[in-house]
Amino acid sequence: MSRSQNAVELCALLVDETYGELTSRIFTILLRRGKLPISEISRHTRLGPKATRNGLAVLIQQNLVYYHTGKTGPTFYEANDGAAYALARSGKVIEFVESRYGAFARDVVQNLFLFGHTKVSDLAEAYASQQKQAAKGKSNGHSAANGVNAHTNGNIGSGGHMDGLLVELLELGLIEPVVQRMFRNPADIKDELELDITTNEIAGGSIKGSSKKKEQLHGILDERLKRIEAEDREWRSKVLKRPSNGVLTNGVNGSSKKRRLSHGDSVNGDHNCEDDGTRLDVGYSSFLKQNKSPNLVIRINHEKCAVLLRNSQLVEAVKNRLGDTTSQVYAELLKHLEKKIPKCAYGTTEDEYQDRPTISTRDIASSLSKSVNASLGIGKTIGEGAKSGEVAGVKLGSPPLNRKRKAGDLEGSGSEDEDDPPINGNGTSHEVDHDGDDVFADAPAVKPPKRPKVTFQDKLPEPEGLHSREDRIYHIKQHMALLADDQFGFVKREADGQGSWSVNFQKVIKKIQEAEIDKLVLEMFGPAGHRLVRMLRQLGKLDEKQLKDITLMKQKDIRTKLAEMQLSGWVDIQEVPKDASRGANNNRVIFLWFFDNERCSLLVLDQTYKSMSRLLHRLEVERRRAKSVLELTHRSDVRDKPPDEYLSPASLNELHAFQDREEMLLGQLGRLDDIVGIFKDY
Amino acid sequence: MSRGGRGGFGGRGGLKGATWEQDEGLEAEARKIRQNTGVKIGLFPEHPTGANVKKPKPLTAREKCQIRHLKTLLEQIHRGPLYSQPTKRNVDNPIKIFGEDQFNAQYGSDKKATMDPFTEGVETYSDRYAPPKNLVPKLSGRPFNNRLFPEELWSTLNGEDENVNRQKTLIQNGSRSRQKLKDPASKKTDILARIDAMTAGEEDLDELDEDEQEEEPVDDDFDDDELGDDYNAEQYFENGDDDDDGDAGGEDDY
Repeated sequence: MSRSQNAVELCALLVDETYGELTSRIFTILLRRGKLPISEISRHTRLGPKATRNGLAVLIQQNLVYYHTGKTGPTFYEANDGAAYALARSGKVIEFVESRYGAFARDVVQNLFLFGHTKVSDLAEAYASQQKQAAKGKSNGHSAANGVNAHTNGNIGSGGHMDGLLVELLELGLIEPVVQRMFRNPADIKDELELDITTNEIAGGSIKGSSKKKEQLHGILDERLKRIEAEDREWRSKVLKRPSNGVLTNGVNGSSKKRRLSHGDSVNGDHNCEDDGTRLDVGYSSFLKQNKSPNLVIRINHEKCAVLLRNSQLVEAVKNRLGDTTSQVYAELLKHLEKKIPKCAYGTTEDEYQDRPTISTRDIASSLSKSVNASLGIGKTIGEGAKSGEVAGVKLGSPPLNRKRKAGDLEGSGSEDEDDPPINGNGTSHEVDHDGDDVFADAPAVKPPKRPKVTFQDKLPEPEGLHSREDRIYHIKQHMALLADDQFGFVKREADGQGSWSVNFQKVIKKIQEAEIDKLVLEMFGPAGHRLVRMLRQLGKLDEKQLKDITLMKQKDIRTKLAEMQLSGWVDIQEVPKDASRGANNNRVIFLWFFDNERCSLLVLDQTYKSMSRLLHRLEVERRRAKSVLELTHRSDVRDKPPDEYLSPASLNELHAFQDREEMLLGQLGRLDDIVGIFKDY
Repeated sequence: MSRGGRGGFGGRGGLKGATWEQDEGLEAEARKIRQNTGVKIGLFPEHPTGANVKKPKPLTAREKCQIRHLKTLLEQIHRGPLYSQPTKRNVDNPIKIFGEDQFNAQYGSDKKATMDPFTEGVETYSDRYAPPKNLVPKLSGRPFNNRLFPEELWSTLNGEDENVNRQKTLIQNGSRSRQKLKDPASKKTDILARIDAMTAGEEDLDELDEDEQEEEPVDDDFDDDELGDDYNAEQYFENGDDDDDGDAGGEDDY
């Protein structure tokens, strides 16, 4: 796999930033030269054997390097650039874990990042010692209110607490048990399997020429790969003694129980949840017993991290397009789905697409936090609605009318929903009053003209008592409709009659990519360029003359703009000769302009890598500038005290100035990482 | 990295029809347009200072949190034993690099050869608080799962396999070194532990030197033993100043 120069530079810088120069040098050579044995690494880096070996050990420990020893011959090492890039994301992952599982989990995950792959026992031990030392620090009278210490001093739980947390994280897939296979390049494994199959199972050896044999090969290969993955999963569930699709957090169980108590109709799902809850406890304790002496080695699963970060990115996108409340509903939906999605590329193959995870409105409603007011953020039209094209009539409806209708709506839909599943295949037929249809048809208020007046309920005073459960489901349904009808197609209604939803991630991400490219083009080439690009995207390859007619721009303007964009690689020309003689006679050749999303994605990605590495360079420069004061703060006797205790005002100012800049640079790095995520990983 | 396998195409290089020559006609045209639209034109684009540069929107609380975690993590790694300090020669004015040799040549310089005697030559009392400079990651501070490493690295990892307990105390002390400095009682034990580690480390070195003799001789910046090659004049100049950097630097700390 070839990598761009910028990507190589960025990975090298990230490793340098995190693990220091020596490891970075080795890593860079591996990136540039591909697989190498130790002696070659030494030769190319001019490093001594001790340094090389130690460096490699660190790299393997952090899973930055794949290795493989053949049956004969030396061990080859190969750079794992995905893991290197993931270093830039570690802050986000830790933040995610903290926001969901609290400070204790954050410390555990941080330690995992720190140690690379670790035995559970070692992790626990390191933890215990930290705890002890933290306690000691406190008794010595050091107020550990700053920086690193504050973190370790958080609420550190007992060992049992940690095991529980680890189980939870394993369930989620955020951390994974390490097996030997993970230290090999997946592509290598595939190649080897392929070779094995061709030599052993397919008679005749060579598969060239016969497509039948090729198909056979692919069939067997897929099967084998799946078997390997399945083995992994089996192993995992053996450890956990639990079905992998259960609901795991106590919060969910609790709420489902509450739901059942408050409400008569118990769906089958509730029983399942309950069962799962008890089984969780059993499996949990047996897990603890098994693993008190555990040689279970765990590490952070970066693929899963990407899934989780993708979710937050999607929620952010929904927030920007549809509003806050809808994004919270969407976040809840994604939270349900994420457990069943092991990696971002999941769902691309036919099989995986067939059993894509789905979620019903009811489940979302039951687990959505009570603090979210689902009735907010849904636009309501007043009157008969736009479907019939009737603009006049009740268009001047007043809020009281609206509220009255609302109340009736509540009672009506409440009694109706009591007995039936909330939505059927079409999703609209269970609305009691005619307004329901309007909401479904018009809620994503994107098509502006001929629209009856839209009022938003946000401002209306709503007595809390009105929010019964059915009401809530009704509102959430509306949010879901909003999501489904959006141009981006954030969710997809499943045609199974159960009112369940799925998400086609690839499609959504593609839309987001397009939006991102649009944004960039608008920024760089102004409205005219943006217009041209959108036209080209929509209509495909176009002649300049046609383009002129469609965009309603002057030909001169178009030509300049297109040339400008072509120079920086955003659009390009295709030459179509009418006859065999090309070149000299220009009127016999048609020139078609086109815009290619894929190509622009690569362009954006490459430029993003470049700016990321420049940010890191800049950070280094800033560090050198502030060197004198930074050296002071890194001194081992003062580094854990707050700087204002020992620094003079002047140097304190300098330190703050540096910290501001550092924050800005790292913040920008994080934002660029979002872009990389959109264009590559998600 | 890049999925399509055509990573390297950027900017103008990969485009057909775009040459390196300046397109006069195009420029003139562009200039005219810019004049029409009232944009100022000079020979160069405006310098991006002050009002010209667009400010990014301020960081959200969440981003700040992410940054804080990232910084904490990096700091912890940097304090840990696996981090290796930079040895770059020209930090302030880096030269352009054209090849691997040049790339390698910028590293591994000896601090003593390039230092400025007027500002940093004199050791001060506070130097004892300076963070330790690891040129090579210290593996003795961590328990490793040998089974997950290639066999040829086991000797490196296993240097001190016989005293696992000591290793573990070292992790605890090592990764949390700031704590022990506050506590005089633990300090003493720690110093003892460090001396232990030092002697073990030297044994290590001896072993490794044997290893080295088997392999092909390489230009070695970190090794302190020149294998009796004292009279080789070329090596004297190439390598002499790099003599004892890694380990002598380490000794200063202890």
